[in-house]
Amino acid sequence: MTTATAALERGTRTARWTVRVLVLVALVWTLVPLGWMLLSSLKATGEVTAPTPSLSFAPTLENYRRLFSGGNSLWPYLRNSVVAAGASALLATALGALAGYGLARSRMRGKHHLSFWIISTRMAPIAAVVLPIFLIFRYLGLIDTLPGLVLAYLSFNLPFAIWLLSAFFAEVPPSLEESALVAGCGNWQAFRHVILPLTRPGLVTTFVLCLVFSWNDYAFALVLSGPHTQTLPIAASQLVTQTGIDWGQLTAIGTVVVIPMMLVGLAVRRWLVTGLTMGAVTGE
Amino acid sequence: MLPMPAFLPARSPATRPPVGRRSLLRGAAAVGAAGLLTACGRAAGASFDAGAAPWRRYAGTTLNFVSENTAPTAAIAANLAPFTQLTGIHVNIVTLELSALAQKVALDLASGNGEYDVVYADPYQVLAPYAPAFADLRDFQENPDLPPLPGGFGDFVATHLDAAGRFEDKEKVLALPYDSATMIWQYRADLFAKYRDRMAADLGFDPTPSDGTTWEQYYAIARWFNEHTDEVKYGTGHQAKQHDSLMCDFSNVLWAYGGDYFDDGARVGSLGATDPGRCRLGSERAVAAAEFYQRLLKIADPGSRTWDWDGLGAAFRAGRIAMCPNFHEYAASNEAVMPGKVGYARLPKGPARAAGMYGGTGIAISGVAPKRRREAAWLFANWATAPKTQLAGLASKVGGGTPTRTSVYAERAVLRAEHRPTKLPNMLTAEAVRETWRPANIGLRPKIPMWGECDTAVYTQLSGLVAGDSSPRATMRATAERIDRITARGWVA
Repeated sequence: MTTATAALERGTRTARWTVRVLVLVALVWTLVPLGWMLLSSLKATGEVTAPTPSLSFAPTLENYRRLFSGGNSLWPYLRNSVVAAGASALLATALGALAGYGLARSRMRGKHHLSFWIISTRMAPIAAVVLPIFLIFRYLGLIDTLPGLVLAYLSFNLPFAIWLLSAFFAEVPPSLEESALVAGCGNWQAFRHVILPLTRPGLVTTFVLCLVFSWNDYAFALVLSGPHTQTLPIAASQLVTQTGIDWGQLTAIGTVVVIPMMLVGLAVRRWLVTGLTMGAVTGE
Repeated sequence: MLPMPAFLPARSPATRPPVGRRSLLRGAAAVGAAGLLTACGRAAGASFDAGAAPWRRYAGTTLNFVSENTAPTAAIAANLAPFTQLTGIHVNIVTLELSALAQKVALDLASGNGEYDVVYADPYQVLAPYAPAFADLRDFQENPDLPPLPGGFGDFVATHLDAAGRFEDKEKVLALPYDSATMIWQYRADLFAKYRDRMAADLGFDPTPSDGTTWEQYYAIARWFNEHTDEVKYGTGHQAKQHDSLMCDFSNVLWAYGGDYFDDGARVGSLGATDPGRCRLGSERAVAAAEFYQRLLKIADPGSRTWDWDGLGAAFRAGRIAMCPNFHEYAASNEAVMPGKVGYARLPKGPARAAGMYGGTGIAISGVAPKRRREAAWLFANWATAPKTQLAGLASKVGGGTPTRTSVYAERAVLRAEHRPTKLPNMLTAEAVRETWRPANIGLRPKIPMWGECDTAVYTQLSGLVAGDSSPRATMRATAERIDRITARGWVA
């Protein structure tokens, strides 16, 4: 073995170990807070805020029992979150696919400006738009309704979905649609049976990201929801009271908020990874 | 369906997909989902039966009550069944953190939405800015068709009714006093008893907290604990985080030293004002108060700069400090962690007087809501502040506030609970708070519509003082200038 080869191998080994260490650090950084939250949610009230936290304790589901029972049960909040976030993500993906496809295949002048304009609507801070949206919704009678929340979430999810999906559609060679058209398909059939299956990772990625954005929203839910439509982030904020924070229940609700999104992410991880990678390298 | 480009041949009817069972099912599912979403919307309206008994006339109505996450509301939420049984009215309670509540109520009232029938009307962030949007409760009290308040308005502690229930007009009542958090002196009675003789010998005065104790003596006691005991890390702790709590903590000293925010401080605090005049924080008395406060914070637990009232309460219960000024409703938590070890007294006096910050709130009825809903809301407000409900709140396992009615404090069970052993631990503070609620001792921050902004200016400047970044004089002058700029803009509700 030559000296140069040995040096190369040493360098490769060092790089490999560096990557492993960085991955480990990233994992610790990400998972320890989540793990701590889960453990805390299983502790009795006194143990959560003990000055010297311990990993050895008798686990209890008391915090979860309190969350899901009594007059302030979490079930209605959970139902509202599922309906509002799910419907909004589905609509955003469906409409985003149609608009994104049109944008990707359009040969109009100023297409890139239009694309940027669409995503730029996502750049405005929520605080800047929430008041006009409140007034419009008030006029339309959409305050404290789930369709209202879905529409509000759609307002920030749709530009993102259009922008993201147009990049995915641009990656698909137009010759595939042309072949489908030559074979007798209509535009819709080509889109439905040829293009959509090919961009499934993009669709899944878009859906998951829109779902997460809506699921975690606090600002719109605070202003537009009411007694009948409050969502999980609002329920979490209610545990910060004038005379203290109920850490046990707060960590339990945190776990309830995080777990569905983790499960969704895990269920579609194959397409999610592909989709995120595709989105990362696209030039559109 | 997307339009077909002109260069493509039109499809023959034979290639058009028929409407199959799956398409039909999909369509039906979509329509169903849309229907479900629409059905999830709110249903409003007040039921009314003129022939029913006064408490039952609105049976079937659903009211919305928006409140800060406070102990009284937690107790009410846990004990709503008796109200629903009595009236047939269902109440949705929405609890929010105070700034979120203020934002929500502002939008609801300003837009005329009327979503919330009963509102937790913080006197400074809700009542003062939106007073015209609340109903005058005298109309309900005087309405022969509605049940009157047991004991009338006069049963409420007078200072509470003014501070939490009125704005500018001495006659109108816009809110019923609902909770009554008040700052008092909380101290480790066990340590004071243990070291009383040594402290008295070293300091030259009896350290036992009393109505005669001064802020200078409080300072000396705190310093004594710092230097002579290991049982606590520091003698005193404060809620001096850059937060509303810092304004509360400082104001006790400000008033004790004879300073105030505005010229007619008592009126601006109790009834409130839209135009309070020039800010007086630049006065020599205010500067003297700031000098003392800066000195006091130098010997306080350094954690004070990171604590609000809740952090301070936790530090006290953890045994870090021997004493602190804090809101009296922490007594129940203190007693749970350190049974029998904590004492309560009115805050020390300064050269001018003794003053304890009042942080009580009322519940108001939205003037935007329709008439029948307002009347149904009256039943709830009436019940929620009734002596019987306040008594139940005191004993509630989920917290509960302290009463705002004088008749409750005269109850035999409540009087007994003022001394250990007690099942109503918040009542251990009764003597201290009653003393603080006297007009001469009450500490009332300015009830002006623009107080939210002024408050931010006050605690932002004070945080510089506490950190030692600015002198007392410069701090007070800068705060006064900022408040003057804010109030000069005026307020249009």
